[in-house]
Amino acid sequence: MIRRFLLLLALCGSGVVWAEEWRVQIADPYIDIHTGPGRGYPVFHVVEEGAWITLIKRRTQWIKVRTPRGQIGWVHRQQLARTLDESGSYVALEERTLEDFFRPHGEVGVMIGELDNITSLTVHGGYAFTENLQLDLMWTEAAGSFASTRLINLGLQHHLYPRWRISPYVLIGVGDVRVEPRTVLVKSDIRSDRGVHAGIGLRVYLTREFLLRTEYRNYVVLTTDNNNDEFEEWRTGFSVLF
Amino acid sequence: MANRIQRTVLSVIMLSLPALLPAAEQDDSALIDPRIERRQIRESQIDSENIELGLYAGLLAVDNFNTPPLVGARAAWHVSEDIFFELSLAQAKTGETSFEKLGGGVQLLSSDERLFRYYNLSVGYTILPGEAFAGRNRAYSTGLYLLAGAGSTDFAGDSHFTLNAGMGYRLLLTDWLNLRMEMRNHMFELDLFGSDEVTNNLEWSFGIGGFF
Repeated sequence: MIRRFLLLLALCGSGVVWAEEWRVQIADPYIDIHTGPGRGYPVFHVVEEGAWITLIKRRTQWIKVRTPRGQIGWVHRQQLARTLDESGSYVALEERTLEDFFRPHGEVGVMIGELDNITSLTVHGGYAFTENLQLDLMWTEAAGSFASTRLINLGLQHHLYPRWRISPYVLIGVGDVRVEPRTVLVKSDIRSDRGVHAGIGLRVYLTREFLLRTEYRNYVVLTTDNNNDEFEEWRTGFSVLF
Repeated sequence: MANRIQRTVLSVIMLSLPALLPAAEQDDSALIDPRIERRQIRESQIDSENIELGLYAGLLAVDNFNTPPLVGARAAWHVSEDIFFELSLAQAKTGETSFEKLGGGVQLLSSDERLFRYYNLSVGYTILPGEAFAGRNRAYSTGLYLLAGAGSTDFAGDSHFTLNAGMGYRLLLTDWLNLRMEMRNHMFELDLFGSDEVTNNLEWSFGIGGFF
């Protein structure tokens, strides 16, 4: 019984391995097998046209393969594009293009900027529902000489011309503004208020899944005092589509 | 009686057989058709390992303070064979400044304020990828990389905007498990002693990580 269970387990294990490994046939006269996942690593083996290689995994632009003679090495994805799968068609490489930004997608990024004359850092994540509308959650920190400010904002972006490579957008949002005075100066209280913001920005599509984003924002902090605080921020950074 | 029922049932089955037959034939041909096993392959189906997670420990020479041990964690995303983006978090507990030691009972900072905690986002570039050889039959992939970025440091009761720059050496023990040694400088302005001054805090660390 135990033996059978072990056998079953081994079968399951091998099943998992097989499910992750794929075989392709070389269509070019030959394919170079490198010792490591990089252009500088030496070619130690060559597999000729018609032979089948097993794909194990990929790292960045390199794919780890097993040759018919059992050697293990790395092949560049451009060479993988010149191999045939079991149905006889070329293996499809997947390149991200600007088109991917017109479909619903997620985006994460970092930005650096100036918030009220203090250097600020922002980490953000968002989801684009349509090609025009995107919801963003942003966390910003700016540590100045008098106080450190922390912002958590939820905003909505609207792309005016989403199909342009350089695409302008407008944004509005709400959030929480937390101002913590420097301990060295005064022992005053930490303030946390609600804030609203509006802004404009520019999204520049660079290459693959990368974007450059630059924006200007105007914040209004809804304080309990008679006057609301107002400050502005410029920032720029890059993001990644997934 | 039973015989008659049997006959009726059998004749019904016989009559319905021609209707079932084409389907059965199709199944048979599918069994011997070699194309059933053929799979189309897309690049995304191949298991990818571009995320690297790791832990590190070392020493942090805090400017004007002592050199306490430091522990941290990092997550990196490898975009290409050369470039990676990295998020790291670490902390160290600093001791007394020279001033406090000599001053006899003077305490500049409370215990909580002595905790040095940073996070940063950095970009790394592998300038010298290579291989290291251990004996005749063993070769390990290695890489010398430069790293620079920005983040925030919580120290002396405040957070400070911090720039960091450094370099490191990565050695891949297996395809996914790696060791690294790194030197980094964390620069930020501190006004603990009256005026703003830029402090240089050198970190020397060893880490272990894996690609997932």
